Amino acid sequence: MAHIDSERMRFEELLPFYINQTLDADDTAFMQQYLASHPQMQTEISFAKALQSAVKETGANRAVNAGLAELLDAYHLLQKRPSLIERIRLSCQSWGFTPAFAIAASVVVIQSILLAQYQLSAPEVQYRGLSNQVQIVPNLKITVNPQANFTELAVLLRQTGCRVVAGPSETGELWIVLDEPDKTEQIKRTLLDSGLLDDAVTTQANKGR
Amino acid sequence: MNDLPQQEIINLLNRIAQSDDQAVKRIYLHYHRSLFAFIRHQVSDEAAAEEILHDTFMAMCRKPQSYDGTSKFSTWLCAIARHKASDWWRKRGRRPEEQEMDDDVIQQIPDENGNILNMLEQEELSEVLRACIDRLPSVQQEAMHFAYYAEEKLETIAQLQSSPVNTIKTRLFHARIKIKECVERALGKEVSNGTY
Repeated sequence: MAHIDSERMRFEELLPFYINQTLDADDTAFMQQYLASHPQMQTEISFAKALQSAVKETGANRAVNAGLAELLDAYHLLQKRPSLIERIRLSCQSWGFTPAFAIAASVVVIQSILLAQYQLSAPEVQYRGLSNQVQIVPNLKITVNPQANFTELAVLLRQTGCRVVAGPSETGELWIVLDEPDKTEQIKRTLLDSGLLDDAVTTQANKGR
Repeated sequence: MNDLPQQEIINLLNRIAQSDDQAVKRIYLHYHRSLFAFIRHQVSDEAAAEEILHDTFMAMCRKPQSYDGTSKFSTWLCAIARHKASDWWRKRGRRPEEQEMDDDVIQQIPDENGNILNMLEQEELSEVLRACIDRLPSVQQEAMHFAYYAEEKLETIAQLQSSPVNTIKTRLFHARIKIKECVERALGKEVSNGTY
């Protein structure tokens, strides 16, 4: 293992700059003295010069105009390329839009998107409210004769346009809605005259009509 | 890299902004070889270097006003090229990293009396040297470019590579040792193959 003394190290480190002649006077003097006392180090100088020569050959064979035509072509394309605003304007024109219409359409589209996003992201709210079921108000309350025949009763109610909406109660009462509520009194008489009922009463809600 | 006068650069860039082909041509012809060499020392692929060179000049054409004149114009171009070379490496995969200098490497300094130059013809040596330079990590290649091609001072290279002066010295020394080893390996192989 060769011993590397500090002078040799200094010589090795300064060598590239001795070759490119950028050393100051002191370092140049050191290099010259070192070479004078170590003539065998001329091989290092030769090697460094060969190295410089190889480095300098990089790209040296490029033609004078190599790549220039391509660069100028690309440069011309660059000049023809419209600015961003110009490109937006041309794009609008190609779609048949005037700039004002395009802006208005953009605003509408953006608002629609925002609204849709809001609708999608809004939590589902449940409100407490009234039932939507309609309450049916009977027109008549009838009391069926215990001896009445069910078939006859059913035919009678059907013929007079009566529909049973509640009952029977424990005492045999039925609550009836009429198809023709304007004829309540007439229908009530018909029902009573049939002999199938013990009683027929107009309900309180129907009395106000 | 020998720069054009600063005032001329500013003038040319203003003309490029106003679509002047002649200004582009003037800058390109002055800088393309040295910039290509710089890029070629960043990436080992010749075609990629051509593409990066084109992209670098196009970046200049696109935004000529982004050169603020605080640095040398060639430094500005190199910075763009370096950035594009980094992109190239990123797309391609891992970039070779610089290894730390260690004592083992320092001890491998060839014998003072050995002279591999005597064993090769100049043209052959250049060919082998170029192949060996290509194998170096790009940060070492870049340092070599600044020292041997652009002939910059040590302090300037330290500034360009954002590294301390001693690191640059070590980097260049390390690069030279590696190249010597590489040449010797290539030479040994040639000899063993009976070429020489």
